[in-house]
Amino acid sequence: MLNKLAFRNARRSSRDYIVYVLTMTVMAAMMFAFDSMALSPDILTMFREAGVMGAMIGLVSVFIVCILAWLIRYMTRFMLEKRSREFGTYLLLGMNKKQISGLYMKENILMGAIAFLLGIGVGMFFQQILMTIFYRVFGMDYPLHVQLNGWSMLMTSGIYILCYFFALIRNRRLFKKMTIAELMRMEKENEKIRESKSGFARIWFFVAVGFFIVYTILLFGERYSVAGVCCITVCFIAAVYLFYYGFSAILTSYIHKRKSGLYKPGRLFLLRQYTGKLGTMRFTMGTLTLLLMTAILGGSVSMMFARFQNQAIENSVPFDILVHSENPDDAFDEELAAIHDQCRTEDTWSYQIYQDGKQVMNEYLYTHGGTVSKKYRNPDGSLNEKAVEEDGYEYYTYDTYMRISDYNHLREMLGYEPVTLGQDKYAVQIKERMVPFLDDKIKARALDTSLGELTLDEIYTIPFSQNGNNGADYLIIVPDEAAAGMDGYFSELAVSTEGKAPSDLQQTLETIRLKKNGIPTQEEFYEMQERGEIPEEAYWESETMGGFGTDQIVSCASDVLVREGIGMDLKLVMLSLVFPLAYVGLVFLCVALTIMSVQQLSDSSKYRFRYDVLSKLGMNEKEIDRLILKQLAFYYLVPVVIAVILGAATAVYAGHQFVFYTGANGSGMYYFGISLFIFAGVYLIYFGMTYLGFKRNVHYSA
Amino acid sequence: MDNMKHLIKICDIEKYYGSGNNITKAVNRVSFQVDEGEFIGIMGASGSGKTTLLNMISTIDRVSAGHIYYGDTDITMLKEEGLAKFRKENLGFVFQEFNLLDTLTIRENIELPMTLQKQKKTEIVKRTGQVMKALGIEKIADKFPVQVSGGQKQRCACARAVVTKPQLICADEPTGALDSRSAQMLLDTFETMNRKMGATILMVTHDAFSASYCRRILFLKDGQIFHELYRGQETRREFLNQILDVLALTGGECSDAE
Repeated sequence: MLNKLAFRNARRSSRDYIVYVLTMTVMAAMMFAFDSMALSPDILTMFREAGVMGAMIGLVSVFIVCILAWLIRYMTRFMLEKRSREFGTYLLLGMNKKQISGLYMKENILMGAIAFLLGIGVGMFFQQILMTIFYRVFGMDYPLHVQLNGWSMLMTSGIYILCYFFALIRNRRLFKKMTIAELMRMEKENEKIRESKSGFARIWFFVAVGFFIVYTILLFGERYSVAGVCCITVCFIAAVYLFYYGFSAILTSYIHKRKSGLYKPGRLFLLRQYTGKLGTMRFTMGTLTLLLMTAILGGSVSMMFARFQNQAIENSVPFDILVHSENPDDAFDEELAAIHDQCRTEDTWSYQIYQDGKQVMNEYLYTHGGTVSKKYRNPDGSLNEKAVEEDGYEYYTYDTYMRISDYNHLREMLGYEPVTLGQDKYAVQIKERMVPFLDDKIKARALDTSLGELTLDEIYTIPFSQNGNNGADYLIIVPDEAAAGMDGYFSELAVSTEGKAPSDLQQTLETIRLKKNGIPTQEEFYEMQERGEIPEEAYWESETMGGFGTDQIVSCASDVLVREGIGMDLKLVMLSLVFPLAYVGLVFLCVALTIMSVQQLSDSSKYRFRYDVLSKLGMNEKEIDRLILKQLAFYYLVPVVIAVILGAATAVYAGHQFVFYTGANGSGMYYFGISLFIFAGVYLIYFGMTYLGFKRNVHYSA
Repeated sequence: MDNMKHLIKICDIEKYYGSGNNITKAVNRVSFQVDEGEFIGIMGASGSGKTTLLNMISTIDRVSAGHIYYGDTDITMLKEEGLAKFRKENLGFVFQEFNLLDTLTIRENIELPMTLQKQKKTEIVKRTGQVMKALGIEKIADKFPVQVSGGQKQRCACARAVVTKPQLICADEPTGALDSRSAQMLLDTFETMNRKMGATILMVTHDAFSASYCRRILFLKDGQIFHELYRGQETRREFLNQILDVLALTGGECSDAE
């Protein structure tokens, strides 16, 4: 009998809280799609670094469990409040609390199970979309087919069950303490009219707004320590909650002032609706704002990486193959043999990078290079040599030079026109990101060479693999005759292939290089460590480059760069950030919107009565619809507008930082814009569903 | 009576539910007039059709047949929008469950219909103050409905009904949710509204005591008027006895609360 009751109740609740059930379905679908992608056997065998994606999805799943457990807990409590009278009646009929909590638990689990099963179905569809996007990123075709593997099913169901476990674990305790009278009363708890104190509480609104302004200024100011960031974050969260506390008081105070604006048709009613809602819901509104803001930020950061991935590959590995050697006279015979063995080449070019024992450019960039200058600059602006000695891996010890003939050959290999140097001139090939740091002083620098004094002619910024291979961040291009008077520093081999190089060529070339330089492989290194030949605290270092440039966030530096190998790895690593961030953003967004929607829809019975009174007072259906729209818009818009404004400041800042550190195209506003666009789509779906449902509920009885 | 103008003319109105062979006539060919300044009661047992009749007169429900004239306007011919406008400008309501908005204070509840009529702030404030004073609720003006008694809530509902000076105030079992003391105070309020403010009141009740405050009573049975009583110059006590006599004829289904 109880099972039958649980089944019927679950069916009724599913109907009443359809938005919640649909959200849980979409959540299960997303879990399934992302988990199955992360654990897809095809992808795992295709990429060496595929584990990163799994690890990232695993990591974000922790956040997702927390947030979904919160949603489920919120919803079970919410439904309990709405149905408390019914539970009181069960108690009156002689059921004991254990039976009732068991019944309620069964209902919830049943609803969850239905959503899960539906979700797996929808998830198979999502999976096709995700996999198609994934394969498209790598320029491959994905033949549509459902992938059902045991591990991903286990992971999805495990996470889903965990959410329910954390959410329902305390529910039994909740029933334990309740009496019949309490249950009968609970339904009305939310309906108390709480008028905010309009006096002192108003101050909080201004305090919060003031803090938000200060926060925005702080964002674009200094860099802060971890403790500073934590402190600002805590204050920020507190300010969001205080904002609603104060906002409610401001509205109440406006009503109390009874200005003429209050007497416009419908205004009084609406303002009182708002203050009533804010009075009881300000904490929830604060939480919703934070959730929405996190969603927008997650989306923005995800967009940054999504858009930057191609650019990062282009900048880091523009050549099909590029091999570095410490030996300035290396002829790369073994490497060339291996390359010719595995693929057909269009062009091969080995060349030297030169040095003249000076470090003017290095010193300048260490102290003016933006991203690292704080670390290496003394308070008086001079170079902190000690810091460079200890930690300065960014630049080679000496300034790096290249012959104009080599430069032009390499340009041609990349599809660029050759360039010429004027009489007694030199040029600089530098990462585009670094150009703003070059001031007139360094541009006016004259090089003292065997040809005499050279002055700067042009600055070139083509993608040129400048993370240690073709210099670190920059190269100085000089006439061949001038280079002849310099010492060879290291050598490089650049190769253009016909078609794509095989991706395992990367591994082959790395093995050759390690052997040539007498560096043990990673496995050999650990074996030697186990035998005690190498101290335990040492870590494996295989790169021989003397500098890696100042790229931050996304940096790709390797002695061997095979575009098909490294490029794919880099893309995979980037996707391992893009997908999980988008995943978290979407989950947070859906959770926040579900709560907003359920709140409004389940209150519509209360509103039905209010709108019915208005109808009797002579408001027609159209006017009532407009009023409903205004009421919903307020409830939906306020947390969103606050989240968008605060999110915009933070996202634009994050975007600027991203552009600053990576040299990505676009601006913070651009990434924020795309993220907001997607956000708005999901938002409108929820808003539309709520508006239509709300209208139906109000007019149905009226 | 004869020199009074007919405010409302109800002509042969009918209301039936269902279709085909399964038709229930809630109101069956009812006709009467309401004069300006009248305080008229409609009595009948449960299911006699009195609330349905009130709902049709007050534009909340539509007639199945017949006509209702307010002056020269036949409201049965008005569309939804026109009805809402008519309701806004001509009618006031008092319900058993008060129907006050719990988010608004007593004062704001009274102001609300005037704001919907787009009246000026000064006029709204002035008129609300007058009505609250007349009905003795100024002291609770800034309280919320949950903070006041049932009687006070109902007086607030009366104030809201009368504040726009409507042509007709419709009251549906206004004393139904009140204790006897509050009920009496409310009925005194109705008398004040009727006599001092000139409000025309149409009240549906099944309570003989409440009905004794009216000047005229229509008795409804099975959707039809079967009797009509005028108070004339009689005292309220005498009128009550008359009502009870009529109710005894119907089988005493209505309450005879003293």
